[in-house]
Amino acid sequence: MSTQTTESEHQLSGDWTITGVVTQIDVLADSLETLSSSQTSRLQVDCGRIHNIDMSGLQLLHVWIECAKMRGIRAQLINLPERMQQTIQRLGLNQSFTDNYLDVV
Amino acid sequence: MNVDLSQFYAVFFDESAEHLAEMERIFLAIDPANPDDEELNAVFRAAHSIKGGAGTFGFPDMTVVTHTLETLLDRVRHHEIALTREMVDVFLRAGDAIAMQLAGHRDGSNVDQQLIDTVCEQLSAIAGNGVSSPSQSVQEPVSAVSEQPAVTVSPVTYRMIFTPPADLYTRMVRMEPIFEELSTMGDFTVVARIDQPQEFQGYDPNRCLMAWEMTLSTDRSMDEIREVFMFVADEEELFIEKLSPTIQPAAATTSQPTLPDQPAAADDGVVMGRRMYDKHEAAPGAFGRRSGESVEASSIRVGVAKVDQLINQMGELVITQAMLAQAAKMIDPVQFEHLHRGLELLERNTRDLQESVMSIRMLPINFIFSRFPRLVHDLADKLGKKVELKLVGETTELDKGLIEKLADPLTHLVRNSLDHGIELPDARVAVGKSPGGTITLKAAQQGGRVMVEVADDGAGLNRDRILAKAAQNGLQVSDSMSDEEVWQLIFAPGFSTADQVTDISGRGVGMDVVMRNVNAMGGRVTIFSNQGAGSRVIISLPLTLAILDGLSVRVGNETFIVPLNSIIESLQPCREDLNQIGNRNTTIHVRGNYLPLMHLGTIFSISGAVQRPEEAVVMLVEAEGEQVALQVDELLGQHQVVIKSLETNYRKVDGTAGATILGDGRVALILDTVDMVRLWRSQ
Repeated sequence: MSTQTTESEHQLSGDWTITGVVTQIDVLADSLETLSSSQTSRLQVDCGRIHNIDMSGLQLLHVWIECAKMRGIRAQLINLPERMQQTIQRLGLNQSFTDNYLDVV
Repeated sequence: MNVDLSQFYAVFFDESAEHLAEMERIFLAIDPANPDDEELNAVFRAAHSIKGGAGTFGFPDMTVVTHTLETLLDRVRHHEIALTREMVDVFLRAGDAIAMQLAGHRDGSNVDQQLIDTVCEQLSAIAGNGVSSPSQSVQEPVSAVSEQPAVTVSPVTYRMIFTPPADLYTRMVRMEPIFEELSTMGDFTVVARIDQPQEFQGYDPNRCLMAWEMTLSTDRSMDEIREVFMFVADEEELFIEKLSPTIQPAAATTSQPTLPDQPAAADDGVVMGRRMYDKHEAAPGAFGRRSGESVEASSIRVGVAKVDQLINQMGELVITQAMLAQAAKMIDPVQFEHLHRGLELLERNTRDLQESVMSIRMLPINFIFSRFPRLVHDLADKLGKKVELKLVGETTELDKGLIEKLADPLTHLVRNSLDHGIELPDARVAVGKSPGGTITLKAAQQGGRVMVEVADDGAGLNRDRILAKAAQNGLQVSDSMSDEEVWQLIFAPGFSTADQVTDISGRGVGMDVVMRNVNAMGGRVTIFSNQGAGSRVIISLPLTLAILDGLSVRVGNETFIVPLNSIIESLQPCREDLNQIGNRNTTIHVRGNYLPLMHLGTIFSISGAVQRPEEAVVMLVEAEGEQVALQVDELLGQHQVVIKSLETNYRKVDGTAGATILGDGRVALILDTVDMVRLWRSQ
């Protein structure tokens, strides 16, 4: 299962732990290029299909969203699984995620 | 991504094993009636560290046992409950249980869950009993002082910044258990910061860009906080400061984190993402090192396979150097003086390098000695005997391969001493001895060998019973046999004089295995015994199994290597010193002694060997304390040779300890003098 992207919505899925993040990189890099050339200013990032995520996955997600922000695109994380929210909380990443991006849950 | 987790767990396994060994050492030495506070703190810290590591690396089963143990030890060290001998025994069993779990994770060995549950129940029972401490019972009488309000320790607020190395993720470290543990120590907050790269292109997902700022209000010490990070953070990666009471904790969920732009880098140039092996190995905070450990005692962990590879390469270098030396003999030493000097220097440097490399494999014998206090403690209890164990020469070094193989034979010998040697207290008193016996484990280096001795002041070997039992087993014995010969009988397979077979010893399985294992290491076993006074078993081992100093000798067209440490002298015999006995046997008269003369060419059926001893060279060699004369055609020279196993590459060849590759590329057999004498006698 791989991450699906459209111009206004990204659906993240699969393994976002250290053993799986490498496979997510290319899709995210391509989508960033696509978004840069589009007129999109807001992007919904659906996390509902993320099976497992750890700090390396959260770091990747954060870096990608910040890079999108640098291109004038504001991302909103939606459908965060319970475990993902707990991991964010336990790692002290609340500010990085909840405060900045979580417009819709 | 395929990650080999074992490389990240190895440090935890090693460190935990060390902590367990330290716990056991302290428990065995501790006086329950008057325990030393420092020792109690040390065992607590050991349990705490194992728990922390187990949580970090995801071994929850170990966390459960260590947490229960740690909680109890915490109460003991704070004198909330008094330590008793029974508690120490349970703590020792808990250590065994954790060791079993550790082995289960490390080696995949079976874990007896029933035993784990029993230990946990025993620990819980102790916790539930809430035995009052002696200090509390002293304070029981109500006094004016006791009515004073209890003094409470004010919590201190610490601010911590953890800037991990870049490889934190690939080391499979999890931070959640660490933060959870800190939260159990007091009021804890944590805020993470992620270093944002300018471009997504080139982003490395394996590289950790996070740092954490934390605050903790607790009554625990800074050292205890630092220990939580033991398996994760080097000293300079973790900054801890005590906040004054007026300073509010920096971390909060309502404000931006106030992490410095480049933590630690501003002061010492260490930047986030530095790999752990980039730093100087003697750095006080090197990975896995405990705070307070001196720089002099620092070490790095290297896989045995890497050391073995280094030794193999060293062996090849020794062979190459020998080849060059051989080739140089054909070059004019005057015309090519510089070349010859260079080769001499190469030889010297190769020897120095070889000694340095070999020393890497050398370990103190305490690696095996340290297991015996527990063994003796448990078995003596079981047998109802009082036994003191003395360890002498624990720092004596021995090749790692030999250390591992020595463990089983030594265990057999110590168990035998306990079961058959040391008498019961009443029996000892009846013969005028102290009720408690002594077993001494001693190691010392003598020349090129290491002598390991197991001695006891027990009953000693019973000559008459051994002879009777040997005769009963069909062995050829006589009353005229010397004591040494009689003691050797106990090495016969299945030999036992024990009246009763116990689960400790007496089955007759052991001494023959001891002899076989020690012989396989190139070692010898000698027994000294004095009935009523005790026994001494001495194991003599070579220092190393990899490289030896030898003398090359020629027989016919073949070259052999004779280990230098077994050679006494070489001589050219005169006709009048030789005596023919029968058709085949000859003796040689050397300074009043008549020694059997062995012809190496005959033993190995080599054609073209010099037959007449007076035209050959005779070497006097030592074999198991006995001197024999060995006839060879010519002495060639002294060499350092790399021992190659014949069993691995070909098959076992009687009379040899292996083979080596000579400077000219030919293979030479390395003689095992004892085995060769045995082979000669059998012929």
